[in-house]
Amino acid sequence: MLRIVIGGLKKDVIERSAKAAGGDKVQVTVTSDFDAAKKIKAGDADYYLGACNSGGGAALSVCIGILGYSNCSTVAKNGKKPNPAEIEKLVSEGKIAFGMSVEGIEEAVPLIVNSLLKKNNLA
Amino acid sequence: MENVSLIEVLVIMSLTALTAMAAHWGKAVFHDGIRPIIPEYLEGRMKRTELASISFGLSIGFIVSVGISFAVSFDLLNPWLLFLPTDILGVIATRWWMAAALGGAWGLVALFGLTGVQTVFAMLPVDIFSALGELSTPVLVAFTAFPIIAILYQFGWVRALISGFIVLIVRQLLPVVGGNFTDNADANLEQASQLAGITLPADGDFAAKVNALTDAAGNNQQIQDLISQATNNFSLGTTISSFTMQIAVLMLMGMILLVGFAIRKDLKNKVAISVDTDEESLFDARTKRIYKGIPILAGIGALLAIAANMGLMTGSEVSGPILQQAWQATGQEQADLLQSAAIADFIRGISFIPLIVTTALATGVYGVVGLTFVFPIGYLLPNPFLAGIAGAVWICLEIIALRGIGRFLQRFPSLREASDNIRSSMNSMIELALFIGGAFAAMVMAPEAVGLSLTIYILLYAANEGLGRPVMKLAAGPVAIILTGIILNVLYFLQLV
Repeated sequence: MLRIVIGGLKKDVIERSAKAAGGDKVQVTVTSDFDAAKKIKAGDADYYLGACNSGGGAALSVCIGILGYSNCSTVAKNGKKPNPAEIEKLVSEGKIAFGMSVEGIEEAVPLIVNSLLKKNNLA
Repeated sequence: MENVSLIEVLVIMSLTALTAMAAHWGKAVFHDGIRPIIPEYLEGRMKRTELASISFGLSIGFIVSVGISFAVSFDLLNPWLLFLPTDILGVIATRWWMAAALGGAWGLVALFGLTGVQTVFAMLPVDIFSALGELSTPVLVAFTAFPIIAILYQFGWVRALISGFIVLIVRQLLPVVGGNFTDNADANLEQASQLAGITLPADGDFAAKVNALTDAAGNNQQIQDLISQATNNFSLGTTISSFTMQIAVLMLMGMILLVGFAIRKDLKNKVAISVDTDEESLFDARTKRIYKGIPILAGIGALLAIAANMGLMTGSEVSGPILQQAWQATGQEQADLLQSAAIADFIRGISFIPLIVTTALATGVYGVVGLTFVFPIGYLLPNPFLAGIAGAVWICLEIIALRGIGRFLQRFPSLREASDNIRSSMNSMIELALFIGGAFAAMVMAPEAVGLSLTIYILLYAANEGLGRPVMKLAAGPVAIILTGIILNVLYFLQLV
């Protein structure tokens, strides 16, 4: 079971998309970005998903501050569609916090969740 | 904005020069996403060129879609247009004076670019600019609803429904209360007219009645007192029942309910809040770093308040359309609208506090516009000189308060969550409002060809949706309506309208 924490904007949409994609293989917790990052650092959660207008701003800023830049990545910038191959690559590189634009949530979240499940041999 | 004065050029150029320098030194950046990456560069884990390309990638969409379209729509410079580029320029520059020169140059380009666009638009047969004023009404109305939507996100539909009811009732009560005062005013005048022994025209407006009475009163103290009582009651009454007042009160009511629910929740389930000593010492070190930036940040704060006071700049997407109306109005109407704009930006500012404070404490890099409260200060103060002083002092106070606000937010996690929800709902409401406002503007642009202009507008908006939103949703309405205006002008030249 993957423990996913959600922060940033439009958390309800991310939550719905993550649950739809992961079913009972994921446990989804909606919280604030700050709390979410602390949970991951403490080992109480595995992955972070967050959204903001640009995909790289408020979505990840607190995570980058707490978890370090190398653990975080923007997967869907505003005005660009999320790229499945790129997401796959980021997941395999071991990123744990993913930011996306609010416009890209519905497309990006299933891609991320499925890649994460595959990586953790849960798919 | 038509005639740009030398003072205005200097204010904007020094502002953008300073923000570029602040970005260069890593003291403050505008983009929330670049702030946490700055320490990566300062502490040697990232090269300047890499940081520059990340800043460019994160910002360019915002500059093009939000920065430019809002500047043209609202007829005012905005932080996205000015400060996202200075973030990038400051980071690209290898010396501080290069940052200053590039930043100042950008200020000049933005200012004259905007004036140039205005001049071109003013020469066109279909008037785009005055039609864009239509964006403001739906934005104002949408604003009254956003705290309720935030309550819906965070606390479910039952509380949202109850809050909605309360807010509606208050909205309907306001004109009643206001009506009471205007009734009193009429009674005062009636009494005065009896004393003066004149009859007032039944359908004359208030000012005319007061004038007639003042002429008749002469030196009669009693009548003069009654007249001044009436004037007071009348202005209170009209203020209370005015549209802008309704919006301000409703927004505040909603916010009070939301914050109340959040604090109650945290008090109820008092979770043991773990205080991490690593985190504490990190925060303390970062706070000291921000203190060192106080001189340049205070300078930026002063210039921001001056620019806002001179009507050169809007602080956000929510105050923009209101300010646009305000600077076209005069007297009491202008004061009312400026007040609404200040309240709008103040509440938007509150919702951004948790984000800006925590990223600042975690990174040691502040936001170039601080907590955004310097903008309302600028709108409200009577002249640029006072605005400048207050802006500088305010930024210093903010920085001193940072650590305290951070501790407070740790104690109330639901407030942090509420701020995310306010930002989500504000986003949705403004998107919606600008879309509807664009439709109003389309109808005003071509009064004889409403069907045509609406069709063009809706097709453009839908095309953006269908293409996977290359223009972000927040800017889609303004971009579509500006393009509609341009297309209508082309059709007019081809004599097809």
